[in-house]
Formats: sequence, C-alpha cells, structure tokens
Amino acid sequence: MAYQPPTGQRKPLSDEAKAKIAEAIRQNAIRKRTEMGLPPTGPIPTPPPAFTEKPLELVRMKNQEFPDDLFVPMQTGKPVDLLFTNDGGVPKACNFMLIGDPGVGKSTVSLDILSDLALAGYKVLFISAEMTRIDLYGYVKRYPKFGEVDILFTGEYCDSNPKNVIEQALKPGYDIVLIDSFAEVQEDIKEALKLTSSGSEKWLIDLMVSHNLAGNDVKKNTSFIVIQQVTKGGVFVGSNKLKHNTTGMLELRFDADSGTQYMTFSKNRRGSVGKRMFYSLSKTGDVEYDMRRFNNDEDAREALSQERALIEEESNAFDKLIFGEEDTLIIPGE
Amino acid sequence: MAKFETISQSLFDSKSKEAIDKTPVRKEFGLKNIEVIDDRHLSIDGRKVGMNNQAFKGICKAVGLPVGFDKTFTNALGDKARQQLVNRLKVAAQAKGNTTVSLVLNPDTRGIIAVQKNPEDIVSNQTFLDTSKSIIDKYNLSVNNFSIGSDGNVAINASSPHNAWGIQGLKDEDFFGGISFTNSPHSGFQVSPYLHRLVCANGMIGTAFEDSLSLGKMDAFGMEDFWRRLNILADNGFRPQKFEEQVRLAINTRASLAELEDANDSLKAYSDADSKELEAWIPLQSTRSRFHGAGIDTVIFSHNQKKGARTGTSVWDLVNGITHFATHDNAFKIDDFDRRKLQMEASRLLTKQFDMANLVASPF
Repeated sequence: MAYQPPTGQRKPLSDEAKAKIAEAIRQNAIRKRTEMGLPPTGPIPTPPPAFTEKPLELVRMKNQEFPDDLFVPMQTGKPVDLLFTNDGGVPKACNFMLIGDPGVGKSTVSLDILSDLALAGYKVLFISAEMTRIDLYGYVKRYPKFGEVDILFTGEYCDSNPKNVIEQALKPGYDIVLIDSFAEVQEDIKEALKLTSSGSEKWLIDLMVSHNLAGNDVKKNTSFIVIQQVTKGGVFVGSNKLKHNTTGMLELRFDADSGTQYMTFSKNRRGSVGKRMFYSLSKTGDVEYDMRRFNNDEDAREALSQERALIEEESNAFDKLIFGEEDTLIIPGE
Repeated sequence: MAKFETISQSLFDSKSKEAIDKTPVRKEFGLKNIEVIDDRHLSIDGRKVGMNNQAFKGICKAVGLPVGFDKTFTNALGDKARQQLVNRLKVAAQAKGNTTVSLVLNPDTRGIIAVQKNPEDIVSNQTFLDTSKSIIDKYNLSVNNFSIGSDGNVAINASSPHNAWGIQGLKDEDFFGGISFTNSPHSGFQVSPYLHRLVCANGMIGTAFEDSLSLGKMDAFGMEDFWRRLNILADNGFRPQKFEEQVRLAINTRASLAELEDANDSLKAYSDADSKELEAWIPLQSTRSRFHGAGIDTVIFSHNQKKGARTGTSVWDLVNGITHFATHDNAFKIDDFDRRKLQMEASRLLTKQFDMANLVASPF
C-alpha cells in the first residue's frame, strides 16, 4: 500500500468509544473516593481546619518566673553583637530569620556568628539542608573556626524520617541552632511525610518554639537563626505564623553605591531597626565588620534625630510668631 | 607675604550663638492651608503673611510653575491672572500627591523667606554649626571668618595652614586649601573648596568647582556620601581637582574686554565704588584707552565683539583682582555676604570657558 501522508485530522470517536471512556473515568473516580473513605458520588466534604483545642490560659506576667540568666545575651565579641540587642549579643530563646540577596554571604555570616558563639563556650548546632560535607570543607579551609561547629547534614538522611532525625538532633539541647534553610527543611518534611506546606511549616515552627521554651533533655532555652528564602523581589517568604514567631528579621544586602555588603534588622523586638553593619568577606578567618561606618551611621542617626527635634521646636515657634499675636503684617526685605 | 588672619575662639563662640538665635524657623503646611494672595502675600490658615521674592519663587517651584514662564505669563496677563494660575496649579499639585510644603520664616521680620518641599531639605544653624565644627576639628582647620546674614544664613571660611601646596613651576602660586561652609534657607548646607593664596592672602570660594558638595539628606546614606566626598577633597589638600589645570590656563590666556567689563560690573554691584576707583583691581579704563588710542572704538562693540576683543590682562590677573577686592579691607563698604559672592564669582570666572581660550596664531 502506498504511503499516505498524515492529514493532521483525527478520526472522530464513535459514540460507543466515547461512552466507554466516560465509564472508565467514572469507575476510576469511584475507586479513588472509596479508597479515601468517601461515598461514590456527591460533593466531597471540606476537612475541618487542623486546630488543636488548647485550653484557654490568661497569663499574668507578675506570676511568671524566668531565670535572670535567660536575659543575658550570648556575646560573639564581634561588632555584630551591637545589632542583635541593645545590650549587645544574640538573645536567648529567640528566633531570628535571616534573608538576603543571592551571594551576599548569608551562610558565611551566620556560620561566623555561630562559630564565634561556639568559641565563646556556647553549645551550637548547624542544621545544613543545603550544603554537603564537601561544600562545607571548602568553607572551613577559608574559615577554620567553622570546624568547631557540630553539623547535621540532613541530605545524608534521605531514606530516614527527617522529622525524627531533626527531633533527635535537637534533643540534647543547644544554646543556638542555625538552620540553612527553613524552606529546604520544610520541603524535606513535606515530601517525606506527605504533609501540606502549611503542615510542614507548622511542625518546624512548633519544634523551634518548644526548644525556645527549653523542651529538650538539658532544659536549654534554644535560640534559632534560620536562613529563609526570599522572592525574586527580595520579599520574605513565609506565613503569618512564621512571622509571629520571629523575634527579628535580619536582612543582608548589597550597597549599590559602594559595592559592599551590609546587614540590617528590618524587624527586631530586642534591638534597633535600620542600623547598618557593613561587612566584608574578603579576609580569611573571620567576617570583617566595619565599625567606622557603623559609628558614622550612628552619628548620622543622632544628628537626624536632633534635627527632627529642632524642626518640632521651630514648628511651635512658627505658630507662636504667626498665629500667636495680632501684630501688623511685616513684609520681609528682598 | 600677606597676613593669614584667623578669628578667636571667643569670637567664634559668640558668632555661633548669634547664628543659632537667628535660625529661620520651619513648619510644614498642607497646600490646602495656603492661598497665594499676590507675589508678596500668602494666607496661611486664613492669616495673611508677607513673603519675599524668593519665597514666591519657591511656591511657584513647589506647584510646578517654571520661573521663566511665570515672568512671561505675568507680563502678558497680569498679576491677578498669575495669582489665579498659582492657586490652580496648587490644586493640581495636590491631586498629584504633592500635598505639603515647608514654609521658612524669618523670626525677626515674621515674613516667609523660603519655601521648601520638606523641612529636612535644609538644616538648622545648630546642626550646621555642629557639623562644621566637627569637620574643622577633624581636618585641623583654622577659621578665617564667620558671617551671619539678615535671613539667618551663615557662612564660615576655614583653611588648613599646616597644609600649603603649590603649583609646580609657578612662582607665587602657593595656597592653603580649606573649606567654605554655608547654610541658607534657600540652598541649605553647602561645602565648597576655599583657596587662600599665600602671596596676597586672597581668598576664593570654589563653588563653581565640581568638588563642591551639599548635604542633601541627613540620613545615614546622605551623610555617608557627604563624608566620602569630603574625605576625597581633604585627601587632595582641599585642592579642587581641576584647579591647577585652570590656573595654568588662566595665566596663559588673556581676558576679553567682555570679561573685564563683567568683573568690573560685579565689583560695582557689591560695593559703592565706581569704575575709576576700581581701576587698581580691574584695569578697564586703561584697557579701553589703549583700544581708543589705536583708533578702535569699543563703545560701538556688541557684547559678542567684546568677547572677541583681547586685552592685556590675563584671566588669572582678573581672578586675583576680584579675590583681592573681595578679601581685603579696601575702604569700600561691602557686606560680608557680598564679599563671599565676589569670591564665588572669581571661581566661576576661573572655571568657565575663557573667551580667548580658542584663539590661535594665524599667518594672515
């Protein structure tokens, strides 16, 4: 038979074939509904929201007791302490989100803070869901102090239940834990436990909060520094629950004018917002902080605040001069 | 060598106090609260207040009316139409989201002397003095003079006597670099290079040089940029980057008759001297006589022809004539701020394209 080139037109299905396909789709739907414990037909009921009925408790703070030590910040001994709290240092039992432009040094800066705290005697843990041992090896060559930090590489537990792995890792109790990154850990949990995004996020936040409240073997109030991803526009990705449980949002940015990097808190319940700490990653061994620029910024803030107070005073003087007296109108000279 | 004059700490302190007392006062108002009555009066929340010409220009600028157009419009349609136009534009500006302006009041005259978009566009004399003092201390400068104007504007010239520098190969061209600080309700806080020529102690304010800077915003970013640019200037001994090049060019270029006349007009405008009395600084009369002696009538020259008329005075001599007149006590009555304007005028002459800059030899 001679070759017939394709016409591009599909032969129309017969009514019988159409009926067979429709029946197959219907049977498949019934099978799936039966598996899910639903009736074969009818609307699918919306599942109730997964709220936990926690008994209502109103708190009167005067009845609360926390050890004084809980309010002594953990000091790295580096200028970055000045950003975290007004007293200087990373506060205990808090959660800090760290976001930033790609390549700005989020992992390096946070590991620098973590290893300085380790060297200061604090118990620290790094949960790495992004980097492998080999990736980290290169870092340690440049920053030998990173070698002092205990690290959990979650990628090495792909066949295990990641929930159990992380819970076990945190159980001994740490002063501070770095998670790189929140989204990656959340995704691992979501995938492994077949949870929704909000379900896996909830689990991770609840875990952090329980460790904030010393829910571990040695009753340590753990702080977390969590690297979080941002949208292409640089906006924080995360739910309201995550935001509510965040003490501070540390942003690492490039300064377009000088081509240098700086960090600044856009939210901080324990310290100031908007102060910039410039840093450089060009030196090996330590992240280098620019105290001169920090002090200049502080001077500028002080001057601006003084100027605003003067504007307020001038504004009052203006009212007094113009509206306070019924005087003859005077036209100023040219 | 002429004497290098500095002011005492007690004079600086008393001047500082006077400057703070005279600080113009700012207040932000909604445009809806302001009504332009005419070019000399405003109504603020129903209260009639006087304003000067610069304040009126500020209002025009705030509502988006170009000053040049304003003049044309007023000449064609009159003051009443202009007042209506400004008020209409005010409504249009509000619709575009420009809802407030900052009015600056002279506390002595109780009239509006400037209009800014935002109160923070200018700084108080207190902040100006604090910042200037920190710059003076940081760079170990000596204060040569301190002037306070009637509108509360302040000007300080300071130079660095420990840091003299010269122009290689040129005798008598040695200078102290320094800074001229000004704060005004119109243009805010400005810093310009200040040049003190050692041989004659003449001062020049380099506002026309690109190295001049203003403190635009007092936030961390604005201050950082300000200090960065100031450090560059200081690292260069407060010598404007193109200063040497321009001085060499000015020495080797003859001034035009137009440049001589312009310089003479400036000196006359800021003093009560006449052309004959100014001859020692600007040799205009003798230059004209030379032209006339050669049978050339400069009286019938157009301005452009005067720009093409070469004189026997170099541009540099002309610059020094202006700065000498502006800096020293010459028995003429000159206001401190007018002296400064002349010192700025000298830098404008030094940095502009000289009329004779492109003159070439010709076989014809």
